[in-house]
Amino acid sequence: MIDLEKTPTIRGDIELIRKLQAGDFQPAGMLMDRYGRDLMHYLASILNNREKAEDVFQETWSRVLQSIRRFDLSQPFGPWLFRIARNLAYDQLRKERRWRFRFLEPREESPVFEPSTGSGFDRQLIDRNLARELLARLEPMYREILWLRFFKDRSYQEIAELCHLPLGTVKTRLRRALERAGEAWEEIAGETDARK
Amino acid sequence: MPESNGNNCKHYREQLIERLLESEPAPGPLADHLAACPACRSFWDALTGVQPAFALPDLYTPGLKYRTLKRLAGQVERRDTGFMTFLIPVSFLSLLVWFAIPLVLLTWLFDYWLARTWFSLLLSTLLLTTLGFVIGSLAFVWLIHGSGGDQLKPRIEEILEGFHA
Repeated sequence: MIDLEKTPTIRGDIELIRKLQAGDFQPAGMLMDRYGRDLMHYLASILNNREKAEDVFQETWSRVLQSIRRFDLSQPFGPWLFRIARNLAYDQLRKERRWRFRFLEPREESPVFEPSTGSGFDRQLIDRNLARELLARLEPMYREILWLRFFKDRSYQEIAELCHLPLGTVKTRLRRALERAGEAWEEIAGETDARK
Repeated sequence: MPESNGNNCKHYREQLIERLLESEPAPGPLADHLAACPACRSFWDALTGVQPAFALPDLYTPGLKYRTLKRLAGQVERRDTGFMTFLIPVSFLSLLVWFAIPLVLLTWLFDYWLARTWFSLLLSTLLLTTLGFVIGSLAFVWLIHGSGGDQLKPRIEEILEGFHA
């Protein structure tokens, strides 16, 4: 687990968590301000949908409030919070998969990672659009691991702890995510050529 | 999209992924290939472009915080009433007083007369459930027609009307 000394935010968190454990829910707002931005971004990276990410975000805090009495104050709050959110996000995906299987629901609506519209042939815009299209085509677990490694710059060890995975699996999954991104890039290249 | 050079490019792309995993820059021959092959350069740009593509506008908004806190407030309110924590022991106590204890006593009594334990148990259960049903029905009738029915009666009529409609 992550050492208390290495995670300075935990010192400030402890007082807030103690209040939460005592039944006062107001400190949840302050914890939300501290972790909300990253948490929403993380959920969006898994779910690729803003509305669903917001639903899971609310559910996460609701679960936090339910189980805060069992939270061990010697552990950092952040990884615990993100693990709850992660479990709920994957539960949501599992539910959707079952639903889609039964009713053949169409592809994702209002994705977070969608190519933005813009005028002209701005090179940066083309690159960003291509990368967003890539992300949209990746499976959630690959998007998640790429987000943790390349956007949040998390170490393999931290990713392993958060995702409850052995270190070797983290490395393999990351490699597979990049390979899958490469395949997606080739798919996009093929589609672009076919349109010409 | 630029054309790729088959197996040769595949080999270089595997190396590019390796470089990215190790967070190292492309070494000499790989850099030379990137400079010469537009397809692999585009591939490399796509992979390295993943990181900035994650940069989204702030999704954590004051509105989201407000909605979440409102939900938490509702949750705390429900918890504070302690309804469920109170209900469970009361239900157990009620079951014990009105069913379990009379059942044991009646079974003991019947067994004393009949000297057949299982038959006594069955008889006691039947007697108690019948008694419970009669008392329940009488209470229901009293609730509807008696003084206690002032609030319940319109609600039952409403349900029945809905059922008929």
